[in-house]
Amino acid sequence: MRSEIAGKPSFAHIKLAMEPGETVRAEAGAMVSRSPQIRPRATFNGGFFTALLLRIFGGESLFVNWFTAEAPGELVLTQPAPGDVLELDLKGNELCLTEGSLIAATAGVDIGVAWAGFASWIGGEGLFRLTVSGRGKVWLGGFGALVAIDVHSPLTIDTGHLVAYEPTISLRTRMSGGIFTSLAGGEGLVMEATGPGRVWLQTRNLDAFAGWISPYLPG
Amino acid sequence: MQIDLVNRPSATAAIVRMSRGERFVAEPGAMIAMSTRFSLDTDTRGGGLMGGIKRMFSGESFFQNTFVAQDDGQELVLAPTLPGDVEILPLRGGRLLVQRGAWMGSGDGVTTKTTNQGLTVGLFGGQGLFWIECTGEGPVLVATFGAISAVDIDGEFIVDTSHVVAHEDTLQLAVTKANDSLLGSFVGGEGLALRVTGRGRMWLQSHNPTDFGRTLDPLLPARKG
Repeated sequence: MRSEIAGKPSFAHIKLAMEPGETVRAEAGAMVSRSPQIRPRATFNGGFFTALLLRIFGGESLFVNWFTAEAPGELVLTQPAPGDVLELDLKGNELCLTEGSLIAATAGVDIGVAWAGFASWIGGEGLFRLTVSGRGKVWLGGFGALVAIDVHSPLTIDTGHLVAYEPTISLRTRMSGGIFTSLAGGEGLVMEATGPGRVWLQTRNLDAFAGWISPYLPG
Repeated sequence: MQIDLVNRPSATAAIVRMSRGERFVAEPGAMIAMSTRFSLDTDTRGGGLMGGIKRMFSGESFFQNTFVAQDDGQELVLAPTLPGDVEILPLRGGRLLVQRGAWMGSGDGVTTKTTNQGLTVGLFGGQGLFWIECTGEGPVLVATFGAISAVDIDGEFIVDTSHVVAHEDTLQLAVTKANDSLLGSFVGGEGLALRVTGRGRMWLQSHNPTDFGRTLDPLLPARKG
C-alpha cells in the first residue's frame, strides 16, 4: 500500500494506492472517493460490546468501515476539521489517542480502550482513552497543524490540544497558576505530561474555535 | 489573460492578469483587490430577470460583475469567503457542471446558466437540485472548503456525495448506496454516494462542510433566543 498525505497542513487528506487483498479500517464518514474495486463493509467497531465501549468511553463511532481492495485501486479518506494528518508506523508498540483523532488504520492494528483516570476526565479528555497497538499504519488527524514534542522534563499542555501520546507518558490535570491566574488568565485547567515519551499536539482547538465563532453566527 | 493561484490550498487567491479590453466575470464579493484601470459592469449578463432569479436557485448571486481592463498590465485579485482552495478549470468548447455555490468567476467567453442533473441526483446527491452549467471557451474559477484535486475517470468511480466540485459532462452521475448493503451504508456513516460513469475529468474537494458543521455544532455555546 502506498500512501500520500495531500493538502498539508491545513486540508490534509489521505490518498491510498491499494493492492489486492489489502484492508483499511476507517471511521464512519471518512471516505471521499474510491475506485469501484475497493469494496466497503460496515461492521461494529470490534464486536458489539467493544463497539459500545468505544462509543461510550472512546468517543468512537459505533460502526466502522472496512475497505478491501479486490484489484489495485485508490481510496481517499479525510477528517471533518481542516487540519493536518499524521501517518504513524506501529511496530508492536502502543499509542494512546484522544477522542476524535483516529481517522484510519491498516488491518493489523488493534483498537481498544484503557482507563485514563479522573485527571484526564477533569482535563476534558475523557475517563477512558483510546489505544492503538499491533503492527501497521495509523492515520491521525487534528484541527490545525500537528506538532510532535519529546517530553523529557514535565510539559504543560493546554486542554483540548492533545492528540496522541506514548503510553510511557503520564498525565495529570492542574490549574494553570493560582486561583486568580487560572480563572482570569484564560488558561483555566492545563495538563501536565511527564515522560520520557512523545506527545502530539494540535495547534488549534475546536472548543475554542466554536466559542470564537459563536457570536458571529446569525440566529 | 493569465491566472496565478497563490497561497494554496487553505487561503487560495486568484490573481487575474489582464490586458486592455479583456473582460472577466466574477461573483459579487469575490474581488479583494484590483489595479486602478478597471471599469465594472454589474448586470445579469444577458440573462435578464429570469437569468438572475435562476442563478439565485443555484446558490449564486442575482447579479454578476464584469471587470473590464482599460489598460494593459491590470491585476484583479479574487478570493472566496471560505478558507479553502481555488482551481482553474479550462473550458475548450465542452460543457462543465459546477457544484452549487462553487463558481467564483470565469472568462468573458464562458456562458453560465443554471441547470439540474435529474431529480434523483438533485434530491439525494447532496449538492442541491441546481448546478451551474458552463459552456464556451475560457477559464472557470471554482472555490471550495478543502483542497481541490482532479480525477480522470474512465469507466466507473465512487465518490461521497458532498465532495464533488465540478465535472465534465461526458461523465454521468447516479445515486447509489455507499456500501453493498443499504443497512451498511447508513450505519457505516457513508449513506448514499455518487456512482460516476463515463470518461472525463472530475474535481473533488478534500473536506466536507456538512461534516465540519456536525463536528462543530455540539461545541457551540447555547445562544439566547
